[in-house]
Amino acid sequence: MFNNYLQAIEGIEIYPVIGLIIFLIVFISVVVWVIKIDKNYIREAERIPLDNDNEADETISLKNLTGGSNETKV
Amino acid sequence: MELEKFSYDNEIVRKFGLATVVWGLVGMLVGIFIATQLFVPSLSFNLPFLTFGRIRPLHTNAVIFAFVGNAIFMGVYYSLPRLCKASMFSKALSNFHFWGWQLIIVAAAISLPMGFTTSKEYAELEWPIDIAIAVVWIAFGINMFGTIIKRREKHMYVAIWFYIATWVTVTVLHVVNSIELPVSFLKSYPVYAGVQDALVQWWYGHNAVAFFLTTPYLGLMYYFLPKAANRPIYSYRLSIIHFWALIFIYIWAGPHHLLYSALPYWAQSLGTVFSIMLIAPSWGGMINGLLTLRGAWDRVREDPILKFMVVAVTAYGMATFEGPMLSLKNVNAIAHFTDWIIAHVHIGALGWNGFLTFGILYWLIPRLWKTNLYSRKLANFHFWIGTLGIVFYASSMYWSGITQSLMWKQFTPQGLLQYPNFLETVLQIIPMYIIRMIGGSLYLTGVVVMVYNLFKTAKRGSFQKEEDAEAPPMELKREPFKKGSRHRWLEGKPLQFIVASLVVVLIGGIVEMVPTFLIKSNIPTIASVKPYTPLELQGRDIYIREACNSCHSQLIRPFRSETERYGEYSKAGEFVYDHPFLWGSKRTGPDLQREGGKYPNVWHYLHMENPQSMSPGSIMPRFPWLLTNDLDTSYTRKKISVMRTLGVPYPDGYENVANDDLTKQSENIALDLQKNGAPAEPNKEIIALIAYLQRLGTDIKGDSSSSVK
Ligand code: HEC
Repeated sequence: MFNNYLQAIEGIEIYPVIGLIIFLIVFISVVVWVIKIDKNYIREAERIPLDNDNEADETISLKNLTGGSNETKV
Repeated sequence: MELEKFSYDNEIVRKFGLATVVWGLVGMLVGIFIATQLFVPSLSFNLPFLTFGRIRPLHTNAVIFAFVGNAIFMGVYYSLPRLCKASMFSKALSNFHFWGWQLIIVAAAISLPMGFTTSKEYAELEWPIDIAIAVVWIAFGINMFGTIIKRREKHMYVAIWFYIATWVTVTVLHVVNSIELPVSFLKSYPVYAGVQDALVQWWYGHNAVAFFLTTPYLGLMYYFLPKAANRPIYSYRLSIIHFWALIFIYIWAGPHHLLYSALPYWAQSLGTVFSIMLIAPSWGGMINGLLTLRGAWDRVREDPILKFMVVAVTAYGMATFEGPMLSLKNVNAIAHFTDWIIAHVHIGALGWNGFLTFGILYWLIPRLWKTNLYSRKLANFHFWIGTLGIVFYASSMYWSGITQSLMWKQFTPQGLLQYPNFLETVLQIIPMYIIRMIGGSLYLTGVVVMVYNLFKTAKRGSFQKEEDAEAPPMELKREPFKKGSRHRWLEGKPLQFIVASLVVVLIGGIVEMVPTFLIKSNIPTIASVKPYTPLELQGRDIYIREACNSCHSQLIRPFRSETERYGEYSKAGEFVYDHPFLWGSKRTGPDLQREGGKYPNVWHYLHMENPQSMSPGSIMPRFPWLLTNDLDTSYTRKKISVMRTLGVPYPDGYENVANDDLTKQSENIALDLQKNGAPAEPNKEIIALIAYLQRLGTDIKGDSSSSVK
């Protein structure tokens, strides 16, 4: 029922196709990229948030597990 | 190498944390209040600032921008310096950001109940507040990028990419959707009209969900989930794909909010295709989160923090599966305009955003106060009552949505509507509204318990404003460019990263919108569609002020069940003078696009005063003040000129005589009302509103003049 708009725009059917192609190009390049990244980098990067964990932090999270309300402060 | 000493600002994290909790309580309480109004409408107490239409945006804004917003900032101000091994760029900017954001929230909490609204969902705030948002947002951006630039950690961890994409995209969305011409200090008209306005609004609305409720929370997930589980994310490679695919695809999906609308067909299809594709990266992210806990499920059973996070990530997966399903046209045909959508967003809000926030708070507060959680039992109680709340909430809304939709579409064997009276379909789902309210209350109870628990935790610890840290400075030496190091190159360069994500985001927006804007024939004009008369324009602004569009759509979809009930389906050309568009997104009441001429004036007069007098059992609130408030005509002139600037073809100089026309038309309506026994005076607001209601949809019935007969 909205076909009249569709036909009114010249070459309209190309828009979704362009979109899809751009997406596929971006997606495939990202995947290729990611596969090529070397292991050492991944190993370093994924540990960044954990680097800050010092001793005190560890104890807190362990204590947290045992829970209870009357525990001594760290 | 020598270690540099610096410190982390915990005070700003505490402030944002406190704001998260306070606004969370407020936002949820307001939600329960309006949910209750839907089965006890008298709870509006006939006060303008307590009626559903004005309070609903308060609820949505409080939850999205105050609760979730502050939680994002809490998480960013905690994680970003630690990921960068640097203190925040500027403490002054941090504080400016905090107080500016809270002021904006207060401004919203005052101006929305007073009826100052643009009517655009999640962008209701008027132009001065829009400008304030832009200023504060930019301050946040400078602070964030400044920190990233002076970091001591070579790599930008994946959470930071999500923060960057969030900042970049929200900036673009906010600016594009807020382009409006002021009429007065707290009133403006958007430059876009009708179909275009709808497209821009839902491009914004959809991506507000994507880039305010999703990407920053994914950043938080990638930081706090590994922290809480004390192990790295399952697959860092997957997270890179997750990131790029997600931000690329999300931006395209906006038109799925406008299926079967007057939006051009190709744009609707584009929205559907990209929505379906969104499942892949979203589930990639969910799987990445859940598999981080592989082999640690015994801990999940013990630890309430991990429990909250697991349910949050699962809710993310559910909502992002359901979303694409809802963009399939045949599913959308049933779900749109019903409570199904309300269920969908609350899986996201209560499950994903809420539970992840709670998990982070339970993890963070004991650390900031250097102590242990006061009570793990209470946290577990919170978890279970919260989950139960979500179950009650979602199941009642799914049931209500599907029930009502089926009733709308039900025909008798003779081919007539089985339930021609809309109200019948409302009364059927009232029990579901009650269960929804109970679900919400359970959820809020859990939050109150959490607040008590966290308060007790803080009470027994001692807060440390600054946390000392040390790290070696970043080596500036450039690594030789080698195969496979391209993403590393990008990661080392925050500016290039910003540009890359901006480009990716813009591609989607441009392909989607430019054709709709540039190609005239997208919106075939209809000769009989004329601009609103001054009185109708004033009435329309009252309709916007009272946010009637929060319960009423003005968009008839091309289904027999809708054309039978409401009349001819909506055409794009009918909305060319609608600054803003008022299609609505939820039918708590019936569609009003063809309301004009359906009832006599006096029916509307009595109905607005007390809907139950005309429609027994109606849950529409009363609007008695419209009968007594004088219509403010001092801005008529300005409104007409602004509209002309925006392209509405009022003749030159018409603003000078507009109020004369307005008076004439209102006297006619008042006369008609008086003849029918209503004690109406021509200078009251109700007259303008009736003029507008009687005009609705009459253009293509061939009667373009005012409908006063
Ligand atoms: C809480 C939701 C809600 C709000 C807000 C609301 N309405 Fe309604 N409205 C309803 C419901 C439900 C009905 C159906 C029952 C009835 O006729 O009262 C209805 C019916 C109507 C009808 C009759 C439609 C018909 O064709 O029978 C009109 C006209 C109307 N509303 C106008 C308004 C206007 C104008 C406003 C804003 C000033 C408004 N409504 C705000 C819920 C709402």
